[in-house]
Amino acid sequence: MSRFFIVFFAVIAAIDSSAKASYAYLDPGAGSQLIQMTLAGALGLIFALKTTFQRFLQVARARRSK
Amino acid sequence: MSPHPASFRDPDGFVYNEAGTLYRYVAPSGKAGLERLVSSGLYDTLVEAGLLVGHIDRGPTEEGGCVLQPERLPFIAHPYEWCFGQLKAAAKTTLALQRSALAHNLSLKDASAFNIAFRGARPLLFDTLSFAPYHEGEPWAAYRQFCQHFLAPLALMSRCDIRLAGLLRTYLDGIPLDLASRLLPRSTRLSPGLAMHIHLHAKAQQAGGEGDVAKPRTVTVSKNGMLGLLDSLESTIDSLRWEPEGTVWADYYEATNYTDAALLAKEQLVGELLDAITPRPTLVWDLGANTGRFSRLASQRGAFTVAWDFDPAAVELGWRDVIQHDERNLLPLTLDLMNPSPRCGWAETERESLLDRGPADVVLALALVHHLALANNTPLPRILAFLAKAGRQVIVEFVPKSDSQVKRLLAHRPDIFPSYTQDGFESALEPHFNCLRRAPVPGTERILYLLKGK
Repeated sequence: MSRFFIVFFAVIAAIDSSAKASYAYLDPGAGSQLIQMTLAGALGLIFALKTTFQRFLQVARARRSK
Repeated sequence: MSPHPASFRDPDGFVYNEAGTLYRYVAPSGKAGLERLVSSGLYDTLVEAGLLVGHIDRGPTEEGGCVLQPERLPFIAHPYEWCFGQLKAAAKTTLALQRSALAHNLSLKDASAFNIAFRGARPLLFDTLSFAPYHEGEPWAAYRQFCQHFLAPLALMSRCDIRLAGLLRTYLDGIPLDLASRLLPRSTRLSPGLAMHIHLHAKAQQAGGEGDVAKPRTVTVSKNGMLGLLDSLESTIDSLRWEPEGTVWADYYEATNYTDAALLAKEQLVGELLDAITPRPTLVWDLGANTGRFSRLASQRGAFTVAWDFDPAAVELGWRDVIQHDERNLLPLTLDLMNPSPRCGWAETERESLLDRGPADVVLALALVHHLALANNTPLPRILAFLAKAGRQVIVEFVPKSDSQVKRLLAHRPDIFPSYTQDGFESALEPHFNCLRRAPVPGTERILYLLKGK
């Protein structure tokens, strides 16, 4: 199981090409940053869909109330 | 100017005390974040919303930094003294702050629960230097800290046992995620939020430490990705609940032998004693406050009142009342008087003990002494000596052995307390206090004392 995670995160890290160092006096944790990057990819997509859907609903409600 | 013992981790500045006034030194490296916080309008917005402590700018320093004078908060509680609802409110406030910061091209560089205070029902951030300029693509450096300080303890309190909140006192930088992952029930792996932010996160931490030191990995997180991460953290925290029920103390007033008339008479008497105190108290500690019924007598008279109790259910119920009425002067907190918050952290000075944060102007110790003396075998002279350290003036209730509550305490054990008498109580208080007033509680055999420290 842990071998799967090592390979999984190594692939993610290899895919990443643009380096961005975060300013931090805290140690953000190497594993924490990797999981954050992985999760943010998926969660960002869900968030974008969710906000688009909410906007669509708002517009639809506004039109209906006119 | 010597930094406060807890203010040493962030090179961008520190807090110090000078002639009784609190100041925050901002180093040149911390000015960019501060300037953007103010110039973007975020500072005004957050202070107006009560989410950030306000400050007065006391001007620049020779080396290019500056000095701020932050608003003084009435009382700083530690996260291990908060109840479930308070930890949840503090977590949500931290996420709201990060979202607001991102909208102004700033980011919270830390997410420590120790940076949050409560002004009654309102949690607020008091570390103005937590804001740093945000650069598109950088990850949230405080993600790990947020999960350790907020998500892991909330999940453990909600899904395992409320008493696991005590782990926050052992792990001052938050509960290690591998520990949280091991303690949480297997069913939590089916909860997407907990599976991602605790179980998978803990695995990633183990795997992440095995990389090549010579070739550090770089990480990119888009702004939309970070907003998605914050949204997921928020919905995970929203899904965690705890209902205060099934404890002895949460329904104390219903279970005691007090009649309604006796309770009202006691309230009136305590109110009279509070009114007799000069100068008017600004900080009151109610020890053994239960849900804060008597604490409100002090808070409604304008004193910031901390309602301490050792039962998490009673504190949670008290907190819900505070929220419901949006009270600003009352703060229910968890505290076991047989093991109060000690000095802890770096060099045993980083986090102040209970007594370090006192003395309070007034301590209320109502229906408390018999529990300490008879249920916990603490001699009366020690109890009175402690009360003298905790408060300048004390309103304390003595409950004699003839009272049904004391009879209940002694029902299943031998009475090994021959000195637990009114005379014994009065001789124990004599070395520490002058007795200003002594009054029987109508309808009971109990006696209230108003004491002033010698």
